[in-house]
Formats: sequence, structure tokens, C-alpha cells
Amino acid sequence: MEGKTIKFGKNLVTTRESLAPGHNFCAGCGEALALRLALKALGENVIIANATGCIEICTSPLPIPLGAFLGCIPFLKTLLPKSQE
Amino acid sequence: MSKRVALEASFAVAEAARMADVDVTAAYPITPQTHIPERLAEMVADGELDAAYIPVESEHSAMSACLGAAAVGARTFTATAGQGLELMHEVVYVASSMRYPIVMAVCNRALSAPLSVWGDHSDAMAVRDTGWIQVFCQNNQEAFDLTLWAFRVGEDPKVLFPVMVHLDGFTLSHVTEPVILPEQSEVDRFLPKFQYLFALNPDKPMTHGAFGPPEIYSEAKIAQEVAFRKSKEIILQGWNEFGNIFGRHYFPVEQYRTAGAKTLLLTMGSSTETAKIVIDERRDKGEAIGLISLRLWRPFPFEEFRQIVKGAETLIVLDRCISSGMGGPVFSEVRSALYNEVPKPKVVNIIGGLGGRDISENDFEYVIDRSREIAKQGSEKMLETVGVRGKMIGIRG
Repeated sequence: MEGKTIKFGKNLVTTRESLAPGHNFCAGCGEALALRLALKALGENVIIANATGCIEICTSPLPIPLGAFLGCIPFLKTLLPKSQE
Repeated sequence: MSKRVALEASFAVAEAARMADVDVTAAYPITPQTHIPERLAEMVADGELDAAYIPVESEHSAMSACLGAAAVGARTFTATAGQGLELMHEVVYVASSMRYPIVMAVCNRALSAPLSVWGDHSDAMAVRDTGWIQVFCQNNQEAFDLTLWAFRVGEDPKVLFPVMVHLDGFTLSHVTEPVILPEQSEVDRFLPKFQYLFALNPDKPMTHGAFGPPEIYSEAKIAQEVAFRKSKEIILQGWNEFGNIFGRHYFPVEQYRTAGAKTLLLTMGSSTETAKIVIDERRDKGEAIGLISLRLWRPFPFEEFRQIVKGAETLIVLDRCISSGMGGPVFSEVRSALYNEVPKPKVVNIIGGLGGRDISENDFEYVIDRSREIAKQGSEKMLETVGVRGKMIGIRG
């Protein structure tokens, strides 16, 4: 899934989308935009560990095919007060 | 050749973790911790064990770090005790629901207040519903053996549940006894490398720990429960295989001189060995009395337990914990397990050994005599205790 770089910002941002369509963030949500850009910056060789919050709730309701929304990134979600150590 | 050495139970557990070649251990290194993580830290520092040792800021973080390690397929071990397990409590549930085969040794201790770091089973009983496979040890050899066995059972692809190995705080954790240590080659034969099918990996993305709305939570929990009950088959296989390789045999319910016994005493943990002395004396005098001990606490071994208790008239249950306003938690469970059986023994509950109070041979003599009296009278006192200065606080006589 090699992403292409955009002409006017070579090496700045990839067209590859790790935050795949199908999530249920509110339209215009700032956190979703931040997540989308962060995932572009982080690249492909990454595992996300995430404490409970909107990012978990909006990307992974069961029962869905595992990983469907954050289509390209392994994801580990756990308790409210604790992202992974 | 295996060798027989003098080892504290904590060191024996650490040795089992070393021989299991754990990849990650995370622990909070001060009170109420034990020598288990202390020894593991030494092993890692001295290069005896190639593992990541993560000293965290609390037990809550210790178990959280273990979740992360297990999620990427690392063989993961930790240890805690008493208050530490309480602080960890929230995350203990997550480990089992996310099906991470973490192994944790718990040196059972009382819970404050009054402030106590001494042994009883209050911490163990507070986590009985957390969905971990749980076993109790009677001595240091068992602490070593069952730690090794825990990895094998938990990591089996048909199981994938975390395993808690309970050993009594101080009476085992800080006591030195002879322990037979096997050869590494024997351990390797018993314990294959951990191959976690669902390890997080950028090449094969998946989500762990998705949230369960009301439409799916019930199904997820029941599926977990069905799998948990099925794990018993592998638990028994694991012990069977352990016996074949190491020559020491373990059973869900351990029996001692139970043939034809009309009275059975039920204990858990290290007090079982003291009770054996009293059972020996009474048996030799011709009394039909025997001893049983619950080795497997979760999943509860209903079949084995009912089968063994069948012929008895009286079953005495010694609890080292109080469920406030209810009685002994072990008693409540075994009596419930027998409720529909015909015939069934009269079940008597005695509570003792709280907060490190010794349960001596004399105490067991009292437990047996007093329980027979209660069984005869057919009445049930609200709170029967042993070794408590009852007159002082107005609960006896």
C-alpha cells in the first residue's frame, strides 16, 4: 500500500490513509483530523496503544472485522486512566 | 540431572520464570512486593535471563505494561501480593477478557486495615471472579512446578487465559525449603516456545480491545466463559504431561488419606501440610478422617470435588478470609457446589489464620472437634473461628 506523495509537498505528507472510511467521528472533529495526520506522519511500521476515549469509541465498535476502521495499523486499546506503559 | 537445592519459594518462582525464558517482566519493586521481582531483576542485570525488566510506578502500571507485552506476543510474567493486587485489580480483568496468557505469582497477604503485610487469602478471594485460571501451592516445590505449568497451560492456543499462582505470603514466600530444579532440557521439552497467533504486528494489522456496546457485550462475555470452562481439559493435560516428564503429579482436588473417611477437612495453601500431621495422628488411632485441598480454584473443579466428597458425613472448611456479612468464601462455594447432591455431607465453616496468625496442630485439633460438635448439634453459629481470642471481643461462648 505504498502511498504517493503530493506534488506540492514532496515528502511532507502521504496520500495513504490509515484512518479508513467508516469511522463514526462527528463531522469536522478536530481529534479525527489530528489522528488522521498523525497516522500519516507515523508511517506504516507502527503499533498504536491508546487509552479509552473518543478515538477508541469512534474507530472500533464490536462487532466489526478487526482493524476495519484503522485499516492499516495494529491497535491496542485499554483502560481509561492508562495508555500502555 | 535435576538437582535438589535449598530455595526460598520466591526464588523458586523466579527460577521457574527464568527457566521458562520469559521475555518481559514488569513489576512495582517495593512493599508489598516480594523477592520474586527482586531476584528477576538480579537475573536480568547479571545476564542470566535475557528479558526486558520494566520497573513501573505502581501495580496498576505493572499489569498494564504486561498487557502491552503480551499483546505483541511476549512471554510475560509478573508478581504481586496483598495491597498490590488490589491496586492492580482493574487491569486484572482486562488481561483475561483480552485473552492474554500472562502468568502472575501472588504471595497471598491480608488486606489493611489494620495495616498488615502478613499472610492470609483475602487478596486471592478478592480476585476470584476476574477470569484468571487460579491454583494454590502447598510448598516451595509446588510454587516452582506450578509456575512452569502456568505458562504451558495459559499459552495453549485452546486456552489463552492468564494464570495466577497463589502461594502463601511469608509461610511460603519467605521460607527456604528443599526444591528439585529440573534440567533446562526437561523444561524445554515440557514448555514449547510461545507462538501467539494474534500478536500485534504492522504486517498483519488487527485491533485488540475494541469496545463492546450492549449489542455484543453479552455474547463476548459468554463466549469467554465457555472458553474458560473448556480450559480445564488442557489444565488436566498439562498436569498429566508434567507428571510424565518431572514425576510429580498434580490434581484439581488433592487428597490425603481420604479412603473411607467420614470426616473430611478442606484446606487451601500451606496450612494443608500442618493439617496432614493431625490427620496422620488421628488416622493412626483409627479415626475415619481425611484431608482434601483445592489445588484448582478457577475454573472450579465441580466434578472431582463432588466425587471425592461423596461418602463423607461431615466436611470441615477452613477459610483464611472473611466475606463480610456472609462467612468464608471457600465455604460458600463448596456448600453451593454440594447443594443438589444426594447424599451430601454436613458442611461446617471455621475461619482462622487471618493476617499471618499461625494455624498450629493444636488449632487443627480444635477445628476438627469443634466442627463435629457443630455438625452433631445441627445448628449453625454465625461465626466460628479458630485461634482468635474470642472472649475478649465477645464473639464466643
